[in-house]
This record gives sequence, C-alpha cells and structure tokens, in this order.
Amino acid sequence: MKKKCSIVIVAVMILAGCQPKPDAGDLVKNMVVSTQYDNTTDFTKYSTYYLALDTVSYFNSDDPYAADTLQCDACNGYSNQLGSYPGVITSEVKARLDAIGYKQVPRNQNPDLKIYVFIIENYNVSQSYNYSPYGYGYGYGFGYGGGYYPTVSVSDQADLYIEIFDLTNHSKPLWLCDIGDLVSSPDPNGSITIRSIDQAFQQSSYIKKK
Amino acid sequence: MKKLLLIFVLSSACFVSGKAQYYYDRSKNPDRVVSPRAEKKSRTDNKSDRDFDKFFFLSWDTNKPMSNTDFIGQSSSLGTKLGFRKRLNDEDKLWVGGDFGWAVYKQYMPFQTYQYGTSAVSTDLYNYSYNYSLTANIDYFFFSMEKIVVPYAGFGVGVAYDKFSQYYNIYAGSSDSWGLQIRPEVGVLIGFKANSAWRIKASYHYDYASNASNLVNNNFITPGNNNYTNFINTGFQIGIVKMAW
Repeated sequence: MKKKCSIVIVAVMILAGCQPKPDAGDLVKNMVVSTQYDNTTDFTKYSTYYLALDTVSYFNSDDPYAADTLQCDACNGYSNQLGSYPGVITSEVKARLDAIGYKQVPRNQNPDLKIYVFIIENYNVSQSYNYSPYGYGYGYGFGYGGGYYPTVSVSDQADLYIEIFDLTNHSKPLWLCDIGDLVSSPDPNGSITIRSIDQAFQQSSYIKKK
Repeated sequence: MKKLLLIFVLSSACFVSGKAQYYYDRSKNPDRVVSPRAEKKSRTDNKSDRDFDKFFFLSWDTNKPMSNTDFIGQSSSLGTKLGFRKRLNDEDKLWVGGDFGWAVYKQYMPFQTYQYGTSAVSTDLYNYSYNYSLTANIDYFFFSMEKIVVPYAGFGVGVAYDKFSQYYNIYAGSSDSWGLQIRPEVGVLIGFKANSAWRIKASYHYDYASNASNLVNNNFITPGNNNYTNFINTGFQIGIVKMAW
C-alpha cells in the first residue's frame, strides 16, 4: 500500500510541475510592435522632418566604450557593431514618412519634426507597451512611468525605438514606437524589422499629412 | 503397576485420536465460526470470487473550456486524472476516494493589433491555462462490481489551482488563483470479464471552479475585458482501472 501511495504521489508531483510552453522558434517569428502618441497632437500640421540616415544610437550595457553610442553603416570599429542594420532601419522609416507626405530636410533648415532612432540592448530593456486605456501619461526617452513590464525569457534582449519630437514646440515628444526583441527574433536580412516598422506606422493612422 | 501403565497409555491414545478427528473434519461442524479474514482469503483463492474493495485509475482527459472563451476556447486533449476509490459499504455500490486532475489549455491568437486608448500593440499571442484540481469523490455504482459493465454517477468537491499565462516573442505574463472545485460526473467501468481486476473507465464530467483572475489588471493583452470570474469546462476521460482488495 505504501508503495502504491508513493507512486501516486510521485506521479502527482511530476504532473504538477508539468507546464508546457510554446515552441521558442514559433514565438519569435514576429516582433512585438507597440506605439504610443500624444492625442492632443494634430499631425497634419507638420510638413518637414529631420532624420539622420544610416545612423542610429546604440546603448548596450556590455559595451566597453559606452560613450561611443553612434552606429552607422559607413563607420569603422566600435561604431560599426551593427553593420548595415542602421541603414536598413532608417531607410524604411524615411520611406514611411515620405509616403505619409512629410519631407526630409537637413537640420539647419528648421524642420518641424525630429525623428530619433535608437536601440537599447539590456539596461533593463522591456517592451514599453502600456496597457491602461486611460494612460499613465505620455513619457519621454526610455521609460514610461507606470508602463507594463512583462517578464522575459532571455538574458540578452534589445529593442528598437523610434521617436518623433516636435521641434516647433520645445522638442515635445509626440510619438514613440517600441519594437522587440531584436536579439532573439531571427532577422538576418532585416526583413522582420522592416515589416515591424511598417506595422508601427500602419497602427498609427493618426500620423498623416491630410 | 504394568496394568496401570497400560490403561494410562490406552486412555491417552483414545483422547489424542478424538482430538485429531475433531480438527481433521472440523468443516463438517455446523457450529463452526469462520473469521471474515479467513472467509475473504478463501474467496480470493478463486479469481472469479475476488471481493474487490478498492481501485486505482489513471485516465486521459479531454476537456472543452466554457469560460472566457475569447482567451482560450479551444478543446484540449492534454489532461490526466489520477484517482482511487474505496468501497464504503457491503452492498458494493457506494465508493469514496479522491482525484487529482491536471489539464493544459492553449490557444494561438494570430498577429493582430490591440488598441488601448493612445497605445497600441501588435503581436501574435500564445494563451495558456494550467489547471490542477484535487477533489474528494463519492461514486454510486448501479450494479455490483462483479458485473462486466458497471455504470455509475459521481460527485467530487475540492480545490482547484489555475495559472493563466500569455507568451509573445520573448515576453510573458501570468496570473494564478485558487478556488473551489465541484465536479459531477457520469461514467461506466467495463471489465475484460466478470469481476475483472483490470477495467476501462469512461466518463463525462462537468467541472466548475470558482477561480477568478483579472487578466486585464495583470496586463494580459486581450481584446476587451476578458477576465475569468470562474473556470467551467466539460470533459471526457477514458482510462485504465486496477481493482484491488
């Protein structure tokens, strides 16, 4: 009788600890795309924007040269850790903004908007998806107060952020896009990143010229 | 002296012989009292007369969720029940025991956009529910266990633990809760022969668990207020039963 009870107890313990999860390969087929915006903004009033092409800011907690944060296609050494990836990102962002009807101009021609593209690897990166329908207030920079910080299943993660600032109003932040995870999602030619950037603008139909 | 010795030996021989005769043919004594233990042993020596008073079972359980089906509405065949029963009375009809149940529900939500005020998130989702239950059960068998086919109706009450999880890319969220579990069921035991030690158990059950979980407040990505106020499911289990005594 004791033997039978022991078998049952062991079986129960095995089952209790059995919590199957989705296949890791299936999970990372798509990146998570989240966006937030300032709903007091009328995006139709802007005409021009400034965007540094082929260049993104890159913050990595493991970077031995933390001060060297710019990554560009044409750079060498530590400024080329991402290879041609910055160009893939910025050219797609430019394509989407141009399609909306905004015009890219140099910084010295007083653009209405500044487009800031940056990648954060680790540094407690998390999707800044903010659930509350009432919002926690529109944030600035890396963090959104009260935002949603889900658990992550990896030790190395990176997110791509695209942010739009209003240069006609004290660089007021208007829109933030967060795309992740860049490390675990297999994206050798940048196609998933491009698709995710397209999705970010598609779900932000309020960014329009007319 | 020799005569006295001879008489004593003969008397002793007669006494021993009488005792031996008594013990040799005691079964013919109509006044004999046989202990229940000895009677059971005697019956179980013959397989068809085995007097089973307990059984164990292991079942494969297929379930269909009926609560919050926008989160998970898909049937799941990933479930198991382990249990035992012990006969409560000599009529062979009322049996009590316990069940441990385990079931995993899952649902894939294709890539889509969820809008929340000024925020929006696009992703595909893998929604999971891990359900465990431990119940005390009472079953009423309509026929004697010696029959090949023995239908029954049962009722279980106990505790349930549910853990709801959501996975997307490398991210995950979860919420769990405890509740009261109630499970009525009807089923049948089918032996491979009369009074079989091994049988098939098939049953249909309805499960109500009071487990509530506010998925929205736990930052699950859901298209609306898809919270659990309880967890209800129906299920069909089929398994193997080992009778014992």
